Formats: sequence, C-alpha cells, structure tokens
Amino acid sequence: MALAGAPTIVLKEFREHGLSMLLLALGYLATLMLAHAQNQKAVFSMSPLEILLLAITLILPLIAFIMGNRLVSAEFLGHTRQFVEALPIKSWVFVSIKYFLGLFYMASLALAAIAYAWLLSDSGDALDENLLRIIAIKTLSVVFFIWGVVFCFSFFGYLRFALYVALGLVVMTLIFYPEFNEKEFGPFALLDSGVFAFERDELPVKAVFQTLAMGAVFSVGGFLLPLMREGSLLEALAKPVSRSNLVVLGVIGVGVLATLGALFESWEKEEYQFSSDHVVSQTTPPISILYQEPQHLSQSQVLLDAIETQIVSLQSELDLGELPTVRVVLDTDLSADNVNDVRFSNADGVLLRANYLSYNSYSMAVLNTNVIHQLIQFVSGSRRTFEPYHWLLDGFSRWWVESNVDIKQHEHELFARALYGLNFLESPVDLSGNWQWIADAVNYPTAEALAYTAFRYFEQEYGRDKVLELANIILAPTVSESVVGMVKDRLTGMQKPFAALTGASLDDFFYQWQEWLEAKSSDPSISKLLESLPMVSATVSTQIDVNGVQRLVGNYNFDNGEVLAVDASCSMQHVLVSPFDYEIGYTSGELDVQPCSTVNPVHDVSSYYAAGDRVFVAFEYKAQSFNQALRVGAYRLVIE
Amino acid sequence: MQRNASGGSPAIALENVHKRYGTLQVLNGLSLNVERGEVYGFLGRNGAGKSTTIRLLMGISQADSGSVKLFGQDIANALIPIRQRIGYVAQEQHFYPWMSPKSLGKFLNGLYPNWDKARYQELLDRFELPLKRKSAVFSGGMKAKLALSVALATRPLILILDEPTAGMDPVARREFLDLVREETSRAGTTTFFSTHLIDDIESIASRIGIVEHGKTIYDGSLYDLSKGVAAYRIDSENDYPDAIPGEFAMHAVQALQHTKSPQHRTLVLRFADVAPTNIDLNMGWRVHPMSLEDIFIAVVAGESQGQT
Repeated sequence: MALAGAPTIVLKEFREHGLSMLLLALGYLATLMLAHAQNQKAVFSMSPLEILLLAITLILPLIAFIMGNRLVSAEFLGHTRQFVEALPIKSWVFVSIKYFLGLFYMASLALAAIAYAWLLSDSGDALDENLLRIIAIKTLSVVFFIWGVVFCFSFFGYLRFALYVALGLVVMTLIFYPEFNEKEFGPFALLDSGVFAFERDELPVKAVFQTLAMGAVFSVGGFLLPLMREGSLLEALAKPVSRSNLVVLGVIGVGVLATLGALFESWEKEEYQFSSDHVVSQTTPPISILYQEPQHLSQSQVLLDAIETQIVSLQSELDLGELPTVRVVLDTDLSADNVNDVRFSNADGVLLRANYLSYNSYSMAVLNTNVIHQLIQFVSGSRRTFEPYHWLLDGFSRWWVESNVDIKQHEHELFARALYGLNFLESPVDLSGNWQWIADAVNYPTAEALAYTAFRYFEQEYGRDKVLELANIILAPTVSESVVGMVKDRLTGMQKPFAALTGASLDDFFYQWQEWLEAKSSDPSISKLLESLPMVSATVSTQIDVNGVQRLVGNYNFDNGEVLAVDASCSMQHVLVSPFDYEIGYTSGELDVQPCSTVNPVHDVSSYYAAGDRVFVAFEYKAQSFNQALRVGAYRLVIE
Repeated sequence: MQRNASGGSPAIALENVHKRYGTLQVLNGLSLNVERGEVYGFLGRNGAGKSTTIRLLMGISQADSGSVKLFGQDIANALIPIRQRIGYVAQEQHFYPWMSPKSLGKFLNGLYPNWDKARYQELLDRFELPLKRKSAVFSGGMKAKLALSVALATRPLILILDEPTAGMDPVARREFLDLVREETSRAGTTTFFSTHLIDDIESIASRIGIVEHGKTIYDGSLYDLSKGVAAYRIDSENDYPDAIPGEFAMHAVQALQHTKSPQHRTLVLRFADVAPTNIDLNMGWRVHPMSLEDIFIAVVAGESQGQT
C-alpha cells in the first residue's frame, strides 16, 4: 500500500521528462561519438576509456544538473508541489521516485559510455572482465556521488547556484591545500586521469567507499529536505532570494573569495632549498648541486659550470621565459655509467640524481641532455613528452648539448648506436608516430640517438637557424592547460608546423633521413664501431620449476660470436606491466646481469609472476666500446 | 459538541487539536465534528487556521496534539485510502501546466481507484473545458472548475473545498457554487467548505464553524448564528456615556463589537439563545439590521478582542 500510485507517478515522470531524457541521451551519445571521431583524427589518440573519463567529468555532471532542475527543482520549488502533496501518494515515495529515476538514468548513461568504450577498445586496451568491473565500479560510484550532490542541491531553490559555487570553491581549496592529496581521496582518486583508464589490478576500495559515503550523505540530505518540517522548509527555500539576501550572499561570497585567495597565497609551496652546507649553487640561471663530502666540491663545480653553459645559451636561443631551478643530487649508490637513473619532480623544478664524480664527457652529455629535456618539459607544461613531439624533445635536447660542446665528440658512437637500432626496427621508421614503440624496442638511449641523428640531418638540410626555429615553434611555447588548449594542441600535431617551416612533409623527411643515416654506415669510424658489435638476438621463455616457482629463461643467439667481447655483459630486465605502459622505465623492475656467453641459458631467474600477468622483458648487451648498453630484444608476454 | 445523526463515526472529527509552526501557535485546541452527508461551512479570517486545519485533514501536516479522524480512522494510519476518498479543491490550482484535462484524467485515474471517467467527462462538458488544451493556458476560473471536476470524478466521500472561489469572477463563482450545491444535494457527499466569504456557504451549509486564533468560536447552524446576534445603534446627539440599548439582565449576553463614529455608536451583542425581539429599548436606541457578513465579522471581532 505504501507504494500505491508509484507506477502512475513513474509514468507521469516519463511523460513529462521522457523526451528531454531521450534528447539528452542522444546528445550525450553523439558527443561521445564525436569525441571518438576527433580522437581518431587526432595526431595521437587516447584510450576509449579516457573518453569515458571525459564523459564522466564533463558531460555527466552537466546532464545531472539539467535533470536535477527538471526532476527536482521544477517540481518541488514550483507550485505543482501543492497539487502533488494532496494526491494519494506518500511524500517519501514521491521523493524516492524522483531520486531513483534520476540515479537510474545517470547510471544508464554511464554504463552506456562504458559499453561504448568496450566496443571501441582494441587489444591495446585489453579491456577484460576485471578491468571492466573496476571501471564500472569507479564510474557508478562517481555517478552516485554526482547525483547525490545534484539531488540535494536541487531542493535549495535559487540558493542552489550559490551552493554549486561554494562546492566549486571547496574543491579548489582542497586541490590547492598542500597538506591534502586530493588524488588519494574519494571521487578525486577515482577520476584521477593518471590511473582511471590504466589501473587494472586493484580496485581503490577506500576511495570508492569515501565516494559512496559522501554520495549517501548528500542523498540523505536531499531526502530529508522536502520531508523536514512537513515541507515548510522547502516552501521557504522555494521563495526567490530577496535583494537584501542577495546582497548578503554577495558580501559573503566576496569575503570567502578574498579569504581563499589569501589562503591560497599563503599555501603556495615555498621553493625547495638544499639545507646541507655541501651545496654549490648560483642564481642566474638558478642551479644547485648537492654533494656529500667536501672533497666532492671540485667535481660539483665542474658539473655546475657545464650545466650553466648549456642553460645560458639555451635561454638566449629559445624563448623559454623564466626557468626553474635545476638541482642535481650526488648519489654515489648509482652506477656512474647509468646516467639515466635520475629522478625528476616537477614540484620543485628540475631535480636529478646522478653519480657524477667520475663522469666522462659522454656521461656529462647524457646528464646535460636530461637537464635540457626536463627544462623544456617544465616550461611546456609537461606536454612535450606526448608521442608526436617526444622524438623532437629527445633529439633536440641531445643535439643541443652536443652542439654546445663539440658536435664531433660523440657523433660516431651516436650514429653507430642509431644504425644498430635500425636493425630492430621496420622501415620506414616513423619517429613521430611510433616513438614509444621505438623506445621500447631499442631502449631509450638508442631512441635518443636516432632522434639526434634526425636533428643532425635536419641541420644539414635546413641549417642551424631552422633547427632553433623548429624548437621555438614546437618545444618552447607553453601549452594551455584548458580543455580548448589541449584539444587544439592535439589536433595541430607536428605535421602542419613542420611543413610550414620546411616546405617538406614529415614523412618525406623521415624517409630521407633514414637513407642518409644508413649511408653513414660506410663512414670508417662508424663502421668500425658497428663491426665491434655482434649481431645478437635474444629470446625469453617461462617455465615452472619443481617448487612451483615461475622462472624466466633468457637465451642469446650470437650470429658472429667471434666478435663477442670478453668484457661484455648481458642483462635481462623484467617488470610487471599494465597493457597501457608503453614506456618502461630504464631501471624499472628486476635486472639480471651476466657475462655474455654463447652457452645458453644465460639468464635463468625465479620470479613472483603469476598466470595472467603481463611482463615486459628486455635484453641488453654492454661492451666497453659503447658508453651505454644496446638493447637486443624486448618482449611483452603474458605468463601462462 | 459531538453530533452523530447517522449513528456511525463522524465523517470528520477534530478533537482538541494543537499545531505550532515555530513560535507561531496556529491551532490552539481546535475541535469540530462534521457528520456524514453534512455540508459544513468553515469560516475564519485569513490566518485563523483554516488552511492548517485542511492540511491536517489531508494528512499533509500532523497535529502536535489532539486527534484528527476521518470516518473514525486516524488520517496518519490510513493516509492513502483516506486521501483516495477525498475530493479536494484548493484555493489556487497548480496542475502540471503541460497536462490537458484529458491527460490529467488519465494521470489521476491511476491514483484514485474510484475514478469515474464518465462523470469527469460530463463535468468537463458542463463547464465547457477544452479536453486537449494544456491547463497552463486556463484562466483561474477554468482551473477551479477543472479542480472541482477532478474532485467530483474521484467519487469522494468527503469533498474539501479550501476557499475555492477566491479570485473568481461572479459568473464563474455562481457556476461553481451551483455545482457544489447540486452535488451535495444529489450525492449526499460530506462537504467541508472553508471560506472567509459567508455568502459562499449561505445557501449550502447546513452547519458552520467559525475559527479564530486556532480554535472554534462558533459551531452551529447559520440560522442560529444569525438569530443570536443583534446590533443596536444610537445617534450621537442622543447618546450619553455608559448608555446601554436596553435591559438585557435576563439574557446571557456577550458584547461582540462596539464602534463609534461622529454620527452614531453601534453595539453588537451575541445572545446565548435567540436575540429578543420584544424587549423595550432605551431612548434613542434602535435595532440595526445586520447582514450575515456583518454577523460573521462581529463574531470574529468579538473573539479577537476578547470582549465579554
């Protein structure tokens, strides 16, 4: 009996709002399809799950707002409430119908977006049942929260707009408050673009519960408002805000904004400063080197001077604006030749770790390349590691460092490395479209060498000034962080500005560069280096030992074993990955280093992998003739 | 106070009902009974507590204390079945503006088990209400007629009218009242007619209640009320301090209203029984004729001023 009349009310809601709901749903789907089409056209595409995230963060809240206005505000704050309250239906039933209809509609839209993403997903997304479950739970939790907020606020009449503004301010406050890591809390954590589409193993249970709890609080608030004081509270809220109240609200709003502004200012993180006495630094350009012992001072000063040389000239040639502080921390636990093993945190400008005490010129160049790379990344708003530009960033950084010191100094090794890398790549090599895959296949230093040679070819064809012009056009400008700016950036890509600058297409350029590079193999210095390298291929297999432990076995096949250097070492890197992690950190996971041998297996290691895990395995060959290891095989395999 | 002509429970029974909104005591011990088939005129000034009483009868609000029963049942315990047997016409009609009388009928058909489609159609025809036009374009009078059509199509056991003629033009008002009169006499529907216009109920109500400050100050027939109140007037030139109309010592009497103008002074008295017609008045005093509205105003004013 309590639900008597409920079907009639539901039918009435559909008759009243059905067309709007249908049109909104169609518009929503059309937007998703448009986003997908734009994504396909874009120079680098997102996962369909990222489009889903776009739908949840941008489109669904808007639809929820419209539905809140239609289903709740128009009904309870309009005069029809007086008609409804005399009908033979209980108030809580009527409110519940509104609530659940809205929730069902919003959840349906969210599920439709998930289904759409699922249809569009390809093998690269690996949208399996578990990932689908995680995405669905996260999405529905956020939808529950959004609808709870909208449902509750919709009862507040004209004040609801002020409440939305207040909520926005609260969100901003939380984001800006340095002690609060919003990416670990509730809906912020669930909607974190860095993990939303990529976290496939673990459901963020805590964040889900936080989100559901907050959604429940708002939902209960929404239920209580129309039932409190027999609807008289709602009647008061339905009245238009008087001018005097509006003035009071305005004064409060300005006061809150001023307070928050002051708070935000006071919350600005002070720039990190090394506190040790063992620091050598300068202010223009800002560089700071932290060392451990007094005897490291001289090497630290040498490093500082080397970095200064690079940065000062970079600043004068590229329009980079104000540069952040470059900090380098001496870490003697790192191997001297492994200069890639540095850490970067954009929270405090450029921060690198390196063991620079015994650097040779090559290692110094690698470190300086890192510095330039990170500086440009910093000023470009972290947008230049996106695939179409990444080769440009890497190649320019290395080219800049080498040309600032002595372009011939490491050229032979870099060219030999690039040519060796070509053996593992299919022609034609597309540095712009397949950068992540290339870096994955041949390792980061070799990919960088390839990009460096491309810049050398560009310099030869168009001159140094054009190189700088290209960098100024693509690398130096800061990309807007607004949605419009990002979309514009995604649609512009590399092709148009490159063609405008050179009159040639990027594809033609890569083709000609590759021919030019291959011709370089006849250079005696380069061919000598190449001849010192064995033609190696490596394979990996998995097996379970008698103890039930999963083992990884690495075998090498040396075509010309006679040139196998006696001091050569072979390494096998293996790391658990998600299907989306294209770029695997150079030092991620486990590393097994063995003397190279023609007797297999060279590597036979136990692992903690389980059936179904995706594992990245890379093999590298390191000989004295090259400063950094060369990758001779890379695989992604699923443990059976 | 308790009347029960038909032998069953009264259609409406309010007993010592109190209701407060915040600091405002709206109902302060209100009691009234409406018998089955009776047309009860519920009179009171704006703010006297009429609408709150109706909200209690409809189960929209709950009494703080006291009992509210319809057909012997507590409204709170049988809200839906009772509401399904109540036809309600509010002061202002707020139908869904997108609904036409036709779609409104379909909607309400799902909520009222006794919905009478034929009767609804008949009433719409009688009032010449366009079947398919959205109610948003209806005038106030048309909406009130639509509301009455809806209320009667539910085949109600109780018809509750909450100042339904307020704002109506005279013709629409007449049509509306004619239908109410016809319906109540034809179907014997118990009718609770709340109004501050005594004319509305003059020819319909078999009994009236007057509410003031949240309690009933009169409960009886309109005839008794009109016969029990009399106004006496004396011209200023004949008046003197403390002059009284006559010797009423033999009657229980309450002075309801005492007004003075430069020309005359008027005293309205309420008698416990029928106002005497054969009493000798003092020199200069004469009986002043009163309309029902005058009587109502005087009764309410008397309560309001607490004069006895």
